[in-house]
Amino acid sequence: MDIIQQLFPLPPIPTLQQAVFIPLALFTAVCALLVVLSPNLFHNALALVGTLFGVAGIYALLEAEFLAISQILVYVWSISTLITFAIMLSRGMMFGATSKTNKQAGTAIDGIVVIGFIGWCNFVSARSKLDVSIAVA
Amino acid sequence: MEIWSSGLTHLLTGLGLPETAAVIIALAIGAFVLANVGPVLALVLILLLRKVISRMQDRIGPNRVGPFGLLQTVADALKLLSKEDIRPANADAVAYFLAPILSVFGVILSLGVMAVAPGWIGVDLNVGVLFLTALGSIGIMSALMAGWSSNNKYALLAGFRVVAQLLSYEIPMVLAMFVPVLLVGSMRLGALSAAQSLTIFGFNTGLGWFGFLMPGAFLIYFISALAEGEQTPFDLLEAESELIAGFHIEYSGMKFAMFFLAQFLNSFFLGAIAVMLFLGGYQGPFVDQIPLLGFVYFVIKAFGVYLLTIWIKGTFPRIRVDQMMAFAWKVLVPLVLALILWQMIALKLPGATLDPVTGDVLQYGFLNYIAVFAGNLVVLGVVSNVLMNHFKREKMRTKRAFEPKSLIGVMQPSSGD
Repeated sequence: MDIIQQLFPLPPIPTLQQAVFIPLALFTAVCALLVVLSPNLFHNALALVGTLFGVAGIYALLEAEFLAISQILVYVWSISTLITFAIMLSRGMMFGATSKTNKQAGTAIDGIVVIGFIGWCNFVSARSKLDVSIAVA
Repeated sequence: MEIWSSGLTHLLTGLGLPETAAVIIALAIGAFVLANVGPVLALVLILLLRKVISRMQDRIGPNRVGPFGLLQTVADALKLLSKEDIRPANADAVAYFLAPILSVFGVILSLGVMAVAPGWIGVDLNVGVLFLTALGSIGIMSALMAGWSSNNKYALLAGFRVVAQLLSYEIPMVLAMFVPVLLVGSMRLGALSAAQSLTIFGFNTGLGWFGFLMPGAFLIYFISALAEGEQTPFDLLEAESELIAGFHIEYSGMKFAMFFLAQFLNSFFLGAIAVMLFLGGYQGPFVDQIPLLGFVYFVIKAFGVYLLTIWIKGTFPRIRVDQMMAFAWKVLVPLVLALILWQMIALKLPGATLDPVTGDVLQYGFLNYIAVFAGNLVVLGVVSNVLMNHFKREKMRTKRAFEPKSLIGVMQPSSGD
């Protein structure tokens, strides 16, 4: 229990920044998931816009206003308008549903295994360091 | 600088609230007020438009509801709100609902950075001008979403038309907005307004407007802002007499009202941005002594620019799509690029007072200002020449079109009509 608390120390009340960050990050993550999971191509594009907006919001939270505004100007304004136009002008893609899956399941499993292994290694090494520090203390 | 929320925060902390809570409550009150200013302002704007246009067309205009018809738009708004909300069966639900919300959202956000009086500014962002330009992206996305999600090919085509027009005119507009930014060296809207003071013998007359120094940039901004706000002569997006309503054809009731609101507020706010950048913002005589006067000046100037757009709406015919595009890409964009290049050269001419330590420019010299003014005069001349030639050609064309073929060249203009 002590180790968990030391690994993930939670302050009793979230600060204002955290209170803004958590919904913002959730919004960004959900939109990013929708980009790949939504069957409708136009919804994917809209979700991409939402994701980029969320990232801009995170920049603004980090007090990088110029970066945030540039993100909106370059990505939301120009690039997503370009993407939306490309989707809308391609015949038959506007209203049809695209397949959610492709034949790359094996690659995905490989990737998950590798990333999971790296994450597990990190976790283990972090815990061992913590053990050492607790032992020293 | 004392900002607007500090007084409220002091009051709330005096009541015993903790500092953070007081700040949050003060900011929330400010945001609430700003969000409600928009719709109320739109009622005034619509009434003003109808009254002034009627006067120009020799009509009386709305005069039944309330004294002098003042409550007409309130009645209209209530009618729109109480209408049935219809959704086409095959419309895409998410995008169809989001589009009107986003269109209003993007417009009202710009209120947050407006410097309406000394220190009266929601947030004095250090990228204020860039923020205002970035908000245009939300309007474009909402138009696209509305056009696509209505499941109507005319709405979709109109959506494409809107985006093409907004994208084309956003470029000269943004570049023209950066001409004063280059001179001031700051994108803060508060700083831009503060820089337009003109002190003569220790008295701030408040008349150092950038519109006087840079008339060319102002003209380009104003023309582009007309197109951005979808005002005449660039209102072929809705073109009530020729087309169906445009990308919001399938919308009814409150959702349509939101698009309507967004359009009116957008054209007003573009005028307000013109006031902040080129017409001195809150600057005017005695503003240093009485800060509240700044707010009065700002409102008067903003409504003046709005009346100018109404005047243009009542006067000019609509232009064609190809003429509109050609004017943006062949006239405005090259000219404003040349203007920015010239501005950079002019500001590097000798004569400026430099900070001895940092090397920053403290005060530009006479030579710099003269060079900037000369460049702007050239741009002003070229734009007005292009417009004059266009009007002359159009006049000739319409005359030819309405005369019998056999009489061309023979008939003299009659004195009677």
